[in-house]
Amino acid sequence: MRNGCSIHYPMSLNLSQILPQISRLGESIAERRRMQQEALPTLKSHLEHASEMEADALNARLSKAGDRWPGAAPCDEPINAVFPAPSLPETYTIIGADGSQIYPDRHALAFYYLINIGSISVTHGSQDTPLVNQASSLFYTQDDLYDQRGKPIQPAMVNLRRDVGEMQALATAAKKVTSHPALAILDNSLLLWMTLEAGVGAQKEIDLQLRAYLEAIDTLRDENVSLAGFIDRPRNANVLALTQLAGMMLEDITPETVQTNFYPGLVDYDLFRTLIPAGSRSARFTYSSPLNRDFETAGHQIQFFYLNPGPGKHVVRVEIPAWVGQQPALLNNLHAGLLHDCQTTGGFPYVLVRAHELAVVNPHERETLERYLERRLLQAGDTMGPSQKSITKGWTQNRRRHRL
Amino acid sequence: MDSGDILGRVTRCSTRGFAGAYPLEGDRIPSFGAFCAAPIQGGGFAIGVIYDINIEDDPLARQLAALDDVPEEQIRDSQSNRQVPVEFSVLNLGYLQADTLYYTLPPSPPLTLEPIHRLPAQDLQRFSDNLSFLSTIATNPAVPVDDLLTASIMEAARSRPENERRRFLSDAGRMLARILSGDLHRLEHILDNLAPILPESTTR
Amino acid sequence: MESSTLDQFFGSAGSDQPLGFVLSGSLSEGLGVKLDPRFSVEHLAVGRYVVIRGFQSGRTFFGIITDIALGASNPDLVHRPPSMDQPFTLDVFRGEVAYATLHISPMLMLDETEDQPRPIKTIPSHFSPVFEASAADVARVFGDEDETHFYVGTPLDMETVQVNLDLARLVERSSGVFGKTGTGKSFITRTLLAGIIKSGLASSLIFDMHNDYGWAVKDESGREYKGLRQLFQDGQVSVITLDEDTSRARGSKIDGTLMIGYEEIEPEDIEMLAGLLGLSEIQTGALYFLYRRLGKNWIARLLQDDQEADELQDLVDSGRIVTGTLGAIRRKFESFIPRMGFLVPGPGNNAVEDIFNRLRMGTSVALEFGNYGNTLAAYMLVANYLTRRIHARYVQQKNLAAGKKAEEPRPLVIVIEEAHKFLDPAVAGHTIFGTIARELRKYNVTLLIVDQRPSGIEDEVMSQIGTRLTCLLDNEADIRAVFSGVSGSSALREVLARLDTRQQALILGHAVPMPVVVRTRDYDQSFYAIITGEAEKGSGKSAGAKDSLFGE
Repeated sequence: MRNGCSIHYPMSLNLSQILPQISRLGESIAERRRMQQEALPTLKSHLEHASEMEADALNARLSKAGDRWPGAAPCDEPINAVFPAPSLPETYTIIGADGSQIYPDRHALAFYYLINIGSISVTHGSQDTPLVNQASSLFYTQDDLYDQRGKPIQPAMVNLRRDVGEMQALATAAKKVTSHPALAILDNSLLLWMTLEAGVGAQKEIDLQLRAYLEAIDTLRDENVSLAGFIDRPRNANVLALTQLAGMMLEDITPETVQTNFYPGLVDYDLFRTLIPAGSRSARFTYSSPLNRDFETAGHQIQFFYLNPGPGKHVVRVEIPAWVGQQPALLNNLHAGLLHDCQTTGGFPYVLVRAHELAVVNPHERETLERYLERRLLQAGDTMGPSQKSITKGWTQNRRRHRL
Repeated sequence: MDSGDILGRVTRCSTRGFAGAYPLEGDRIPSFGAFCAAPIQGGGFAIGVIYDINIEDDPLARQLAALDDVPEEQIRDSQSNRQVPVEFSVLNLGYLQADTLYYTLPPSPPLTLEPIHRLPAQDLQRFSDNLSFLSTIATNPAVPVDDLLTASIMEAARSRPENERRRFLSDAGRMLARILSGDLHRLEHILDNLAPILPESTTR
Repeated sequence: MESSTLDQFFGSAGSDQPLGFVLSGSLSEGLGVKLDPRFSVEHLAVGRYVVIRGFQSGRTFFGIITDIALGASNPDLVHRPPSMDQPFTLDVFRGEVAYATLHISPMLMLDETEDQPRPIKTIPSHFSPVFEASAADVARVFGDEDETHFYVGTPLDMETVQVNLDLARLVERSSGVFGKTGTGKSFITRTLLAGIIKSGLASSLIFDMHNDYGWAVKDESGREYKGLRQLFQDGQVSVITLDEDTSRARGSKIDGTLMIGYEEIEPEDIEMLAGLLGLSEIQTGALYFLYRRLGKNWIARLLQDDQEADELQDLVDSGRIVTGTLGAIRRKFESFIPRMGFLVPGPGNNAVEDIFNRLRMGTSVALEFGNYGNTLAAYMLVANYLTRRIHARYVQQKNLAAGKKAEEPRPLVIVIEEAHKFLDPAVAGHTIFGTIARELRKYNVTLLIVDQRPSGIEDEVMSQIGTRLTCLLDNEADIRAVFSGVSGSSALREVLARLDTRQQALILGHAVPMPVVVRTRDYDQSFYAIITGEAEKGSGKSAGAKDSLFGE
């Protein structure tokens, strides 16, 4: 670049102090690797065992594990089954959506928050330019910012609204699809976990949001679109919990005993990355959580499988509504389409890369927004400005000088 | 001045020039040699010409570029939709204050994030009636002088009705000849490059 | 029409556009002007007038384009010209990098408050705009035609402007009409003489070698023009012939015949012919001896038969003259004098007195040589013979007038052709013509010399020529001679060398406020009408084109 910009990073990290800790961190990672390697054969044999178990025996164990057990339940496929990549349809549409937000900040010059949703719809085989969309919403009214009890809104509620917005963006895009089969992908779990965190005082709002979310999924189902949540680097251990459960004596099983983890430090990922070759997927499982039962009630029980999108030994977790899992066409197109969409972007769907890009509010844009806001406020006679704390933070940020 | 398209917003500035950024989308793409204006402190506009356009670093594009087999749809997405930020640099040539045009550097730089407008044709005509801006370009060591002279003259010529273009180009050519009288090779090169936009060239 | 391609788009620049701006110069060397690229150098011409509006004062300067040149702001241009197939590039180069320069000789200046321009004493400052002079500008310089200002022609490219010669100043000093053969010298001379005669400011004595002035004249194409005697029929012009037979054959109206008696010829009259007759210095010296010894019959005696020439034999015998010298003189006289029919034994017909009286009365005399015009010796003999005697009478009368015993003699203009024969450096010092040229108007006699070889005329004489009307000259030495003694006029050299071969003349000197190239007035029916006064009856004014409703 001709007119170089000089960037200066202030250094506030005292590296010498943490150097010993860094070396100990390295050692503990190596230790965990060793443990995993040692545990893998055991895990595999336990999975074999679980898959050989009679369905009745397994169900008996599942029913004894109780509501709070975080394990997975098998669907209609053998637990240790591996499905290779189905053939890719000549033409298919894949939609991705992602969201970002500016959280409400008491120190900012105005109390507001912002949600920005980006989506993209690519029809492979059409040679058409993909359709992109960005939707930004600014929330600033009393109802937006305070809950039923008059408490300021929590970041979790912002996230909830963002997640709902993402699903709605998929539904909106799905209605515009002209070429099927079609896939709709979220960079998230399909289960709206935020409903559990958004606060006690906001139950009414949470119910409202959940209903909107499920309605959006209804739309996707009605449009015959394979909906999926794509979770990279999953940290769940639901399937490991299932194999553990299968290995326990029926009489030993109580809601308390199943909470003990036989494989500390290990997750499903560790198991499936050794089992599933590139392009293949695992069997489908389902959660046995209360939230999933709510979804099931609404017709959208959430299932998941592990998929190796390639290249190398690597799996991601793919969540789907049961109606996708139960329709082989939807399921196979999802499987093949996802693999294809991950090819150029190294194992992560292209549409999610782009949806993220469309959604993200970069610092520069944020600054622009705030400048505008400041001007509007000044024009409206509000001269309060940002808090001193916020200003002092700005003093120490990076500066670039314009040079010719 | 407000009727012009907004090309972007000021990101960095000095009295000698300013830089603007805009997302690479749509059709309002700034072009090399385009004249633009940005409000300056104390009223008025700095008027300058774009001498550098820079598409910022983009890992995704690099990732796709490295592959043999990229779906056509993804290539089209990158070319048409991607919000790759473009930064363009503007060399100040003069300023407008109280309806008077000055052909020197503005007294103060534009404010950050002020909109940068493409100079509307009418204003560009007025500004380029005085060709002294060409010497400002010619004497700046930091810009690609010859190409910028060519591009800015073309831009100013296109802002004029067809029947006035030849006269403008001739006047501009003469101004160049005065500025570059010491380097006939460069002068000829620039003039040859201007010739194609002459309206319906009547070659002798 | 050739023009810059830019002209096609902008149209030619009007006269309100400056041709350019003064960038350099001096009073002595003239001004350098860079031509505005909008003007095509190909449409300019040397000799045109320009008006320079003083940048710092209201003064207007008049000048004349004396040279046009191509310049380049960068010396590399000639080594590295632009490609010829890019018209736009060439056009821009043509105006700025490669441009035309004009050299302008400033001639006159005019202050805002003045009517009449004056000779320049300074020059316009840098960047003063230079305009092509308008007809009105030029007309102001040359004034109006009146009794003493005579319309001789129009400046080049300005048919509506009259150049009016100041006749009083023209006859006040000697003047010259130069130009190589066939450029129309005699037409101009005849026109001038008509003006002088009509003005009554002077009488003329015309030694009309080739019968060009008195009576009907034919040009090369055989067209006939009126002579002065035909234009002035009321006695203002007399034709005196040397060759009555030829004159009658031509149908000339003759007012007298010139006969010079042998007795009237003096050695001085012969001395002028020494070169032509082949007389050596000794032989020339002997003429004076013979004249003293033989008296006024000397010619007759020398022409006598041998047996009757005892007297001559005595001279030889007394050793005062060698036989060879005497023999040579006699041989040369015998081969010349008897052939000249106007030379007669005895006292002649007293032509000198007759001519002097006519001149004194205001009658101009055209001396028609008839066939003798082909004999240079005859022409020189007669011109010298008459001029000496008439000049002597003018001197006498002038002296009497100084003593209030007589009237001032009427100014006389003596017209001689082949003037360099009379005024070459070898003889000019002691001939009557050299004397007249040098003494200026002391005795009211001046010369109008007509010559195709001005370089043959002695420098000092040339420098006394007040007004010079010059047609095309192509010999460098002749061009130089025409400009000798006229300060600041050397720049006009280019102008002179580029005149058309016909009807164009550069006039400079005493009788014009500034040098001017004219297309000389047509010598035709309308001219006759004006000179004879017929036109005046109709319009009451001279028939200058600018007063004509219908043009020419």
